[in-house]
Amino acid sequence: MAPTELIPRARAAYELGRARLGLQRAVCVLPLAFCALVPCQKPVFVAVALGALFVAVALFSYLGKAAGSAVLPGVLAGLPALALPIGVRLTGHLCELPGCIALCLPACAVGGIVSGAALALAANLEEAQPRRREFLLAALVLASLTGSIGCAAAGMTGVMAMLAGTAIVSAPALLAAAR
Amino acid sequence: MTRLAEGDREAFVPVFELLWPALRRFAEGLLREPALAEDAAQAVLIKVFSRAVEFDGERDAMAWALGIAAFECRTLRRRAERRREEGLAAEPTAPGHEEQTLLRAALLDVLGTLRPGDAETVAALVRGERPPGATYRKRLERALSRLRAAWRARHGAD
Repeated sequence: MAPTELIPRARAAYELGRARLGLQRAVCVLPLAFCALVPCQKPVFVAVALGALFVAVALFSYLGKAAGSAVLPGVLAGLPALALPIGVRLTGHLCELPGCIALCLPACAVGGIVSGAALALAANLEEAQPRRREFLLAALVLASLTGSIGCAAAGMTGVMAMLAGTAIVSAPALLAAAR
Repeated sequence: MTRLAEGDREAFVPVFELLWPALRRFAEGLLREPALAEDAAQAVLIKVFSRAVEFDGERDAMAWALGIAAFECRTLRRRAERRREEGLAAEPTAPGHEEQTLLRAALLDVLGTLRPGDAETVAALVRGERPPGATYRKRLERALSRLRAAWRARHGAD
């Protein structure tokens, strides 16, 4: 077979290998579904956020380059925003009760701030400027989706608080990368 | 290959152009039948690209690809021997000059991972220096066993 006929087969094999990598990585986030078992958690919200995270991890891993290398830092950066509100609920604070979101909302916001700081630090490790922008955007998406799973019990307000915290702290790094 | 492993599709054609002739020559050196060598080279090429995401940038890309090629050629040869296909050699042919160079590069790559003492013992053996005595024999045995383990770990084949 001439190389010209072999190229499409080799390219398809390569793309298949990347798709397999994407699925393998995406499967690793599925255990986060256990977050739905935490008291007051909204299973539907968790399922939607987890589904979106699964797709994003698979897609970014498949695409590779800066987006691919942002997968692990992005998900890891989102873990504080996921863990803090869940930790608050596990200590007995129920966010569902009316007027009882005094701890959950700040936990989501603080988690978001920690995530944003982690993202800004991780972006500084990326040397090339265009690559840093792509890296930061992909990592932001992943961290926000990961954090949303933890903030689901506090409703959209909790998610918005977490997103605001993440966006405010990581904004300088994002702006610097955009220049 | 490192760029390809990271998802840079622009590196595909250059990697293909470098790998294909080298893999074909390597397969032709190991398998006497041209058609079988062509099949083996194609299978290896497809396997190398499908496993490109696993490539570790700190390793030598050609040595990694040839490790896969050596394993694939051996598998194909055994399969062909079982089927008693005509024209296939029972024993591998001696590698040509280019294959020897590539194999030497792969061996040096693996030797670099051994402890200096073990690497020196193997290098002395290659140079034809074999001092008499049981101590040397034991040292050589140990060094060769570690070399085999390192080769298996790197190329997945003996």
